[in-house]
Amino acid sequence: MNAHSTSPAFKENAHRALHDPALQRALGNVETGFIGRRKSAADKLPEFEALRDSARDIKNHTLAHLDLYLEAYEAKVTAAGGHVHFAPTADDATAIVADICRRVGAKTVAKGKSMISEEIELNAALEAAGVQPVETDLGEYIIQLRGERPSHIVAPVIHLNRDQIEADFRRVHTKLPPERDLSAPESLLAEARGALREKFLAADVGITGANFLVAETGTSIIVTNEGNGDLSQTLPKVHIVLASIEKLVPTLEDASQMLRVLARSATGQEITVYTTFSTGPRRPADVDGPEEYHVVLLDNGRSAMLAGEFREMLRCIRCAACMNHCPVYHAVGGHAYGWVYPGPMGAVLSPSLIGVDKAGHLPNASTFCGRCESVCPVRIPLPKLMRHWREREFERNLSPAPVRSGLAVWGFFARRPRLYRFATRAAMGALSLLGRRKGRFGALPLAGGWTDTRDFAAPEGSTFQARWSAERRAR
Amino acid sequence: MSAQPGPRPRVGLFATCLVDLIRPSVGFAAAKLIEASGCDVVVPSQTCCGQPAFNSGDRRTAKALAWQAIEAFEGVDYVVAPSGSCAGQLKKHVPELFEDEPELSRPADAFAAKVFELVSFLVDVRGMKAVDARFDGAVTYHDSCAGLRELGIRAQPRALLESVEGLTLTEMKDSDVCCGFGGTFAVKYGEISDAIVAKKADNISAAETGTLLAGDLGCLMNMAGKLQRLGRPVKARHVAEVLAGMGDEPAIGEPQGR
Amino acid sequence: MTPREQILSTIRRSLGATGAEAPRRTIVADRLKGHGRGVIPARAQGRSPEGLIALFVEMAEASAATVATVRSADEAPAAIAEFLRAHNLPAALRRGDDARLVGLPWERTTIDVSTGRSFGDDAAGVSAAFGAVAETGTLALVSGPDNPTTLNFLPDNHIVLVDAADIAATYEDLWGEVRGAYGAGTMPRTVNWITGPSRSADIEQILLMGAHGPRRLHIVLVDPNAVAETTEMDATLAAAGSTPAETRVGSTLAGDPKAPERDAPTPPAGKPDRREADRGHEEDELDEALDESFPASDPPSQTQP
Ligand code: SF4
Repeated sequence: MNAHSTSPAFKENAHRALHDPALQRALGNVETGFIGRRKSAADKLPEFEALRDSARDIKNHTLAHLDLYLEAYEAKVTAAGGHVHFAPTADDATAIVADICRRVGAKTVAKGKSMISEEIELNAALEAAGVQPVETDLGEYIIQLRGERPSHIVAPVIHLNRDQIEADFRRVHTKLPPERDLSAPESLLAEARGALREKFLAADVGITGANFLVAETGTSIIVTNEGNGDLSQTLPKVHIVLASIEKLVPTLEDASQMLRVLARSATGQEITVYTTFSTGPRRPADVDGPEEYHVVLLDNGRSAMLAGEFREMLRCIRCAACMNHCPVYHAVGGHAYGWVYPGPMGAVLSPSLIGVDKAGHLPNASTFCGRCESVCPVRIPLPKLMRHWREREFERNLSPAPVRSGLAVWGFFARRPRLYRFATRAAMGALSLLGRRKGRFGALPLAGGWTDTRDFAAPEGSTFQARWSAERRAR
Repeated sequence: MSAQPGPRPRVGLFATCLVDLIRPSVGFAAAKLIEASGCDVVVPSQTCCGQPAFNSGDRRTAKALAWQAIEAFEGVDYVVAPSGSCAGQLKKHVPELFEDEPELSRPADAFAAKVFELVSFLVDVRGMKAVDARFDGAVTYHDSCAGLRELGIRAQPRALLESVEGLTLTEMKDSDVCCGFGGTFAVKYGEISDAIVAKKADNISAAETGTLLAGDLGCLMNMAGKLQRLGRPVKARHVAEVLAGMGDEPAIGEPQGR
Repeated sequence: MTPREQILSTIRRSLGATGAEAPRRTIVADRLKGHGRGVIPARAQGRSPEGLIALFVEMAEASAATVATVRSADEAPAAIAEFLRAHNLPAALRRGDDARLVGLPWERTTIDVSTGRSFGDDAAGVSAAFGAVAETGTLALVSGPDNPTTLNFLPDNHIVLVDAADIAATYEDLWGEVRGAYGAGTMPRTVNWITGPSRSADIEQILLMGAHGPRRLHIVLVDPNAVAETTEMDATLAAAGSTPAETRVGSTLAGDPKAPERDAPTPPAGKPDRREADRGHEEDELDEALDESFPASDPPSQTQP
């Protein structure tokens, strides 16, 4: 697949984001909402940390036996009357979905929220096949109206303010009387709800993602607060589940463990409003539900990730806690990352999926503050994995030249302690003289990234090692 | 101050390159505190813990520098650094660097086991409960990331600061949130780093104290540099300076006046 | 090579396995059959039946559902009529063919009852729950002609009858019940866990109720050990009016004006002590914590920061 990404322009994206006042205002909502809610949910459950261990172990176990769990899962889906389609690449997945839509003569498709759908750029593929996809999650719906990508994997329009959303609705919902007051978020919601109701009832195919797949029973699980996923999968005559292969867990009990950490980490809820377990199509006596049930299992590079140091990333359950707690995400928002997955999880995953040559900035644009790892429900060591990407970039000479040469010079001296002591003593003495009057520098060569916006403290004078040996010798 | 019975342990002070180069007084403050906890201090020849290389993906240089440190501190009972970041590198990441090399991983692990960040060494290892120091004024304390999340340092500096005569500690909002330093990140992604430290500077100012303390010179230089550029009257110091009663020397980025 | 083989063989290459190794197969087979439980919150464990009911009600209300308790299923139609009246809703509803719903004395009310699936024209849908989970105040509904799934999502008001005896402590206990009913390894087409009414916080992280699914979730809890309170319930519901955003109206347990000192479900006659003891201050703390973390039931003014 030819992924459309602006990740190589991360710096420029970030620059624009930092100078976008509306975006900066909207990003304030990330910090004020998610962090406190997650914390109080975690504090209220004494077993939360133990559950995180449990969730990590379940995923590790499943990944280590993924081939066998996939086989077991497939057999159960088939036994329940469903169909499993294997899609090695994004293009394979979109082709499978488009074929199903074409076969049943679908005109419109109702879609629940799915990051996989974004990853494989399904909407574009469906449109090309003459099928109109309709996003039904409120946030995704707004995103679709704007022709954007979500900027957050749980809250797709966290980058927008209500006035921007109102403007979009007025632009697209042409039947909307101009005098109708849409300034309150409630009226925006009511407007979207009304518009989408019709779409649900008219859709021929419903597509949802899956938060988990259960091997024991061939069940796919979605969690939503809106209920849009359920309408998407209940009303149309065909339900297609789009899921990547690492969504598997062994049993319903294992899924329950995962669900206990998912909502708390994502939105700070005890549990999401709707947790739906779907197994196969409608049964003979049923009066509603889809007549066909398909699961498209996407690989797209994941089976290869199992081999190396990035296997741990496949534990990710897409809760977004890492980005909610990330100072870099808070500063620049999700679009700056330039592809589907933003924040720390994106900084690790995107290079795997679209190549480190394209996404090379992402694992570098981190302070390694470690807050992401400290909240990740499946304990993915995100900074460590970002560092692994930096190592790969370094090995492949992909890191920027000034950084490499700066480090090389530093490394040269640091590995020669005597030379280092001699050189640094002289250099610090000189620098200290230069900065003596103010005690700091307003500009320094090669450090413009720092001194454009911050002063740089001048050295006190001699080095510690020099002073120490002088003073201790004198005693 | 407290001292444990028995022979005085030998502590190798790992000053860290920033302290060595920019602010030697932190090294002297650290030495004073370690001695007050009943230890002897030595300063083996040293350069850098290798973290900048490690975090830039240059494992080879990181390993070379780590091994250099392991050898330099061979004869000491403890290795103590006035920095959560460098101590974290030596304690947590040096073993990772050698984990695939059985011959080297044993000495690396043994070395890592004796590494401590200064304040946690004083409190957790030496049982220090109070310091003999005076500092008149209100301070606010920033929890540097590596110290907080890699080494669990949070209560220790606050406990010792409590014992400083004349000092009151006012917590700032989000004291546990990164200041945006991140080593080379501060230069490579200067604009983002600046946006993060600008928020931090506002939180520091809002605490309305005259002084900002932290346990890592890199973060302190970043925050001090921003506060100074913004013309905010807050002075920044390493927590060791205040704990050692050396809080009357010029603050970070202030003229030396000597 | 088929796409299936391609994926499986790459996985196996990555894992250094062939897929034929007997020990690996045994591990997986045992795991799938074992239904091993992981970490179970103490919150829901070791409770008396009354304690479980109390926890269920508390958690359900914290999720912005409303709960009315009746002593026998026969009282359910009246309770439902009261709920509809209190919210100025038409006296009409749609239900499935669940035996627990069919046999109720609907004729004692003026409600116009229709049956079958919903096509989106119903103001109220009524379902009977397969079970419930006390741990988080979650209802468990299974699909089928008895309880069509469309009734859970299309009507603006979802009313769910749940038998107090069907309240399980934890999710794991619930799965035990499902396996008992459907057989291990087999599932009904859909199991819906429902915890509170539909909502969205997509716009500026402001929590709004009734996104696509029901704006209100009303639980009629059939608890033979509860004290009958019909008259008080009437008063509460009538007083509560029908402000749409007031998600807590209609709760006979949290907002009874005639018994302001009581915040617990009514103790069953004859064993009040036990019920009181179950609700120790552990639950008061829970109350506070829940209030903090579930802004779901915030008054509308909160949505205009
Ligand atoms: S990496 Fe962890 S914290 Fe981030 S989305 Fe995935 S599971 Fe959540």
